[in-house]
Amino acid sequence: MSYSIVNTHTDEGVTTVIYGDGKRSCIGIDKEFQQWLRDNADNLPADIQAKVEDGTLTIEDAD
Amino acid sequence: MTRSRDIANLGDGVTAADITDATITAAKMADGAVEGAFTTQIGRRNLIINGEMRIDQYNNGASISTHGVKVVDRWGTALTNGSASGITVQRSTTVPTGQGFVNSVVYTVGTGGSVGTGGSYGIQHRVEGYSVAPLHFGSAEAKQFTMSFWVRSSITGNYGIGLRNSAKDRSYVGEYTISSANTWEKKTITITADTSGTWVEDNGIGLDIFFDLGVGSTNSTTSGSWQAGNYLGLTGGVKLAETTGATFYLTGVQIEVGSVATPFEHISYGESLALCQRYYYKQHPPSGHFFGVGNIDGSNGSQIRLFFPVEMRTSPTSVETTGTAGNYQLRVNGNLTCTSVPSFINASPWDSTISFNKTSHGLTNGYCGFGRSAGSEAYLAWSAEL
Repeated sequence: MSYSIVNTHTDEGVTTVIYGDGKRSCIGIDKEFQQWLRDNADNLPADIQAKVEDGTLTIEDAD
Repeated sequence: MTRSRDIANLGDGVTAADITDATITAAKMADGAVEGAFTTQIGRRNLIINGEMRIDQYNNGASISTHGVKVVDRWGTALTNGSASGITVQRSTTVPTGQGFVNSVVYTVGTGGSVGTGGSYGIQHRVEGYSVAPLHFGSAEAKQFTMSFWVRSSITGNYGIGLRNSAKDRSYVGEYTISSANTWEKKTITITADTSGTWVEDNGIGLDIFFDLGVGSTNSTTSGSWQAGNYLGLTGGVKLAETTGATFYLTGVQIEVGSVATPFEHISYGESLALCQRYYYKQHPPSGHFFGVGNIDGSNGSQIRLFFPVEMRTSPTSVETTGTAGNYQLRVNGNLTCTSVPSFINASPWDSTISFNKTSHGLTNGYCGFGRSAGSEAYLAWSAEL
């Protein structure tokens, strides 16, 4: 599984759109994406790392 | 009815011929004088959705070899944390004769291996809290319920079924025996719901059900009582995943209030599909047909709105596609083949907005646009699974 950012919508209440694994696209609250973020927190792709650092993407704690 | 005839009939019981119309009126009966031989309910009974394994929006019968995904709607795979390999799970047309079933699910072990301490092998179903609320889990009012199902396995012996709450701190392991190999058998287990613990009665996980085909020792226990802890497997039960080539079929799963396993409640295909769509919805219009309508938004994308046929359990957080951009088109006054697969913008339980993407499409912001299928395999799908 890999993810990258393909689009960013700035409408109210809409967050970063992220494209993953060729089949799924998701926003930051997607459970599988959040697990992937946690698993790869130390080695994130540059575009996603940038979103984490500018606060538009949050790595949530595990359930 | 005369007293002499009444006495004469004591030995044989009262037959219909002994009772004439209106001889027993409501006024002649004390409260509780007439009780059913069993406690069950009439009408819609089954708390399980797609217990007949027929609806398969996910895979349309294709084989699955991945842990933690759906094999058919509402039914998930578990095949991890042990040394067994090559396990496949899929919808099957092998069914018990004469029971009205069309499908089952079959779990096939490629190469058997130890399930060890942490193995998790089986078939899982999660029931939404709203659905199990009538059983009054976690209270003194907890009700009796009955599970029934059809199984067929290549290995005989004692098998476990784990039941668990959402917090994974209350569990019950039931036990049943498969006595003949490769033969369909109907099994019934009656359980009184747990009177302790915290049980979800809203749109979360109300009851987690696990057909144990190889649970490691850490999460296995003895059968027959509610316990504190996280248990899904039967200590000493058959570990199907440890046997190369073993097969296990399952269908006709039903949970109903009361102590009686009534015949499986067959409902129409459309009803069953609609129940499943609360948790997963796949839209696959024919080639050239539209997914939805919206407007051009930005130089590379759009905002196309699609409606769900039933209210979903919760708001989906992603969209599933075929993975091939060429299966999708963005249309205003001509068809533009997408340069990446449609991407998720947002969703509620009732609808979703999706961007059909075309790099530098040259269209004017705000123009009406359509998301369009460009191939028979094109689909979009949303999940609100438990």
